[in-house]
Amino acid sequence: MVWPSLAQVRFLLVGEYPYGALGGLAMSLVIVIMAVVIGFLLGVAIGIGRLSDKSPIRRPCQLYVELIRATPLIMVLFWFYFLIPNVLGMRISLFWTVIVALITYVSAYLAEAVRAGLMAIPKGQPEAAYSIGLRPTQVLVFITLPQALKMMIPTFVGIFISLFKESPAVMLVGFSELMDAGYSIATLHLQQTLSTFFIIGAIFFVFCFWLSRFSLRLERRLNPERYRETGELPLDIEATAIAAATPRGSIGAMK
Amino acid sequence: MASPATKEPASFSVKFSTDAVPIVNAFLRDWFGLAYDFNWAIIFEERYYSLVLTGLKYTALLTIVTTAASVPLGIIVGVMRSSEQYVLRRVAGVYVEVFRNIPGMFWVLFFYFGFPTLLPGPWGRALNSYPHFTLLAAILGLTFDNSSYVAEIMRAGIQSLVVGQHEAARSIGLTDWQRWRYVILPQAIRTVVPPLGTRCIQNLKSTSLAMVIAVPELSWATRQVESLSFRGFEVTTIATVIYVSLCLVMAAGVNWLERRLARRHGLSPAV
Repeated sequence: MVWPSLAQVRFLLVGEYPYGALGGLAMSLVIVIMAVVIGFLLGVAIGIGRLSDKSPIRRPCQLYVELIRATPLIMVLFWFYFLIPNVLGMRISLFWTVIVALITYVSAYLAEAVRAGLMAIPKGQPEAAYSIGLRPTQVLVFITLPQALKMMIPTFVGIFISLFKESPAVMLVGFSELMDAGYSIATLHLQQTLSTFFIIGAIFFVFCFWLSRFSLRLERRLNPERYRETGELPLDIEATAIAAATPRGSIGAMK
Repeated sequence: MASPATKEPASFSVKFSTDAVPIVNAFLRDWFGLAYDFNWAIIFEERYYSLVLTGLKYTALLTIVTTAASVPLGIIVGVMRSSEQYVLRRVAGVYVEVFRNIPGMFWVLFFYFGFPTLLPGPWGRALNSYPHFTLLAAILGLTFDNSSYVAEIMRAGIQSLVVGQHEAARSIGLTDWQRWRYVILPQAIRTVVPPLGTRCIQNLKSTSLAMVIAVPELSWATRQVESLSFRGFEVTTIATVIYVSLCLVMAAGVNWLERRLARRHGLSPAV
């Protein structure tokens, strides 16, 4: 087995960065972090909207979440890849197309997590807040939302991991990131196919494994009351995240 | 007054596609400034809808085969993970962590490009020259990927049963096989039907990853129609509608199964 040269490993990690475009693992992280951070704001808004009393607000939010969650990421990428240049007549870079698609995609999952968090707040919290004379907006902003977001931090980490694992789909619209860099090395240098796959697999494994362990620790630190009785860690952060974020009868959950 | 000679012959499909489209396009152009003429009629052209229908067929095939293979595999690995034997537990643990922490697309690519070189020479060459190798590689990759998630769900279901179930089964003298087959697994599987159903719907969406090695499934057909007709937005919309409908059908199936199990076993569906 021929191992990749140092230059090729560098290509996997940062692309051609100082001399050309950023790529590889660094680009994967950039798009995923940007999508989760910006999508978080949209997700909070939609998650609150889904719990609104007014059906003109609730229904569109519900439709958005259910539609995105029943659609593969590649279809969302195609929408923006074909929509923006053709329909709007604008030319934007592939980077921003990908970012917009990932934000659209991840915000639906984040919205579900926010909604699950808000619904898990005990009724006594908003009741007590109303009884001391806070207005509905104040109750949401100062009482229920901070608690819900804190409770859902491990779920957000789980969604981040999931998006990181789904992000290789962007190579299908020609965007270069970790999997695309590995794919080009593996198919151009047939001697190194296997070793390149080992390296990419190892990078993904180390990242996702470490993050999921970190998330388990976080879960235990943030929500100790949930594990006080058994003294056990939850089985698996993603199963917990899916269970928390999937109301009965809804379709789809993230990987 | 129009004479009969100037009347167009009645041809429904052509009239439908040519009459409605300019109105919609003019509306979009004037009110939203869209510089694009939609042409939804492309889906009625035979060379395009045959591609989409083939794609639908392959997506359905991949979904059914990978689900049917990965659920039993995942159940076996999940039982191994909950076994009392250290070696079995560790092997299953490594299996789950490796397949779950590496993306599905990696596994599809790996089974296509990497797997034949891992095999002894003649076998690898035979596999590479097998005409349906792309389909086989996609099925292998998606099956192993999905089975690790099924195993995690199964383990959670098995651990949700109280320890007394194992103890009671042992105390009436059941063998290990009987204990798993007649006591633990029936209860655990009933418990995990909702998350398992969600997982299978996720698997349907994951089949779109097979386009990376040019399996002609729905996403691949979408891109193909786009490159032939430059009508990417229209065909993407149609493919999305198909994906959403398939997901809704599967969700309805899972709900039906859940209700049926609940009725038969006298449990509330929320178990």
